[in-house]
Amino acid sequence: MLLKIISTFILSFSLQAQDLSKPFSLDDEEKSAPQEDISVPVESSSVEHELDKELSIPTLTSPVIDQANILSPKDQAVLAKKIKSIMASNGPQIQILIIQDLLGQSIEEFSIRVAEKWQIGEKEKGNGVIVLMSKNDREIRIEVGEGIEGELTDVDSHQIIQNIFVPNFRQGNFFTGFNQALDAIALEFDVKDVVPQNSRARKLVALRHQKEKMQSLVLPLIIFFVFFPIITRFIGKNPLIRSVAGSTFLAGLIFLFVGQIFFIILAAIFGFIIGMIGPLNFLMAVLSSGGRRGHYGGGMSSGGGWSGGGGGFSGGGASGSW
Amino acid sequence: MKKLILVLFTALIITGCGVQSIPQANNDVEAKWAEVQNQYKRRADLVPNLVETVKGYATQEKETLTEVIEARAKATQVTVDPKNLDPAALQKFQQAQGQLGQALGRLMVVAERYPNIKSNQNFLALQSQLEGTENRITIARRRYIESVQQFNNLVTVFPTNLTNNIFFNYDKKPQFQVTPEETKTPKVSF
Repeated sequence: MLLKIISTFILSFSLQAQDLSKPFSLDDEEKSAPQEDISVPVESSSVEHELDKELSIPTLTSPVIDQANILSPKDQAVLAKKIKSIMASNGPQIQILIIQDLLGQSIEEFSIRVAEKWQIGEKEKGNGVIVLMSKNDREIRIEVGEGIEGELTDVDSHQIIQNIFVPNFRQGNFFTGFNQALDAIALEFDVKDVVPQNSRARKLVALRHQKEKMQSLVLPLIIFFVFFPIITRFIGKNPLIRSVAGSTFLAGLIFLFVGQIFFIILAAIFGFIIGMIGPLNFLMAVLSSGGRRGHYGGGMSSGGGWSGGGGGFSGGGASGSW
Repeated sequence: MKKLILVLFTALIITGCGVQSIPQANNDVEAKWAEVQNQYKRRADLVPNLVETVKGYATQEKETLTEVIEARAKATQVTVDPKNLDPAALQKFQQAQGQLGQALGRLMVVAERYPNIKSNQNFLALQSQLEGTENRITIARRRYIESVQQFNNLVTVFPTNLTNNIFFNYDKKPQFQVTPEETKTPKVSF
């Protein structure tokens, strides 16, 4: 009975851990939206506080940061969702930042400071895009990561500003401007299906990704359960030695096959427990509770974080005013 | 005496003696300089196309156009090997690029007088590329300046300056001098 509890605990833990390691998940979409609502007034008040000091770079909390309260929370959520789905379809990581005033600084100067601090985009790909808008200065800039200057050229950025941002912003259609610009950027990267995150097609793709991830864990686990019982024969019945051996063996396998530090640590703990209770005992416990496995899939949810990935910028893009 | 040396040695190690960080900083300066040259070259590469495009509309602006072509020719001749960065070479480089920047600025002002140019797609594309490249140059220069500052601190400030004197003997790297003409030129925005 005890074994059963331990094994189910480990199983459910490993499933949840899977979820935590993803940059963001399907289910948290709805939950992250109200969080953004709360963060908006807090941020704008802190900016007013610092207005007479120096132009400060806000903390990166979500794909859309609006310090000038131009977009409604609902609009922000829609844009954030689109940004995440572009990223999920192998597009760039886009960040929207709207500030009240540049305080005399040039938009290029501030933009590169933001880019260097936030490091939007992946480090290896340099695929970040920052769309910076200053409300009082009526200026907008698209800052393009150094890895994607070929896809989103200065000329493309210039055209997006002149043909999408400027006409829309002149009429006060801020949301439409941003929304269409996101589509235009996505199209430069052949991301044609900028569909809402909760649509059926998107969910299926995400499910497939998750399955692929789980599959990469299967082979090392099989090797472990085939060879570890043999190993335990040789090292005797001392549970401590067996635990250490199990921990090292499984962690080593995961290191070879998966290589993600998070899973290695998990494997070390997992291997330790299996070593302690014995691999065959564990297997039997899992098999006898196997019928209930479907149950664990339902409860997956976690807080989706949003952060930069070390993307570099060297000043590509374009600026304009409306 | 032996004790003193030992104490000094451990002090050097604890404070980070620079045996690693000085060559690293040196490499960083070289990389940043390469990037600066690269971006200037990128600007120079835009010039022939730009001149061709403007020529089609503004034939009577021969003087400005030849000025740009000559400045470009001069600027592309002056290159500085990252390994031999010295103040004289840097100044020469900066002078040549500054002249090209000024000539380009004048060309864009001239082009402004011809409304037809502004509807030419090719010209608009070149213009946004030029703007982007000027911005890249600014950033590459700032990164070079920061990198040099770090390097110069390492080779002049205790204790890493001792390591430099003993092992490497690097000189201080030259910094960009912002000349008065440079501050008012190559802003090519419309």
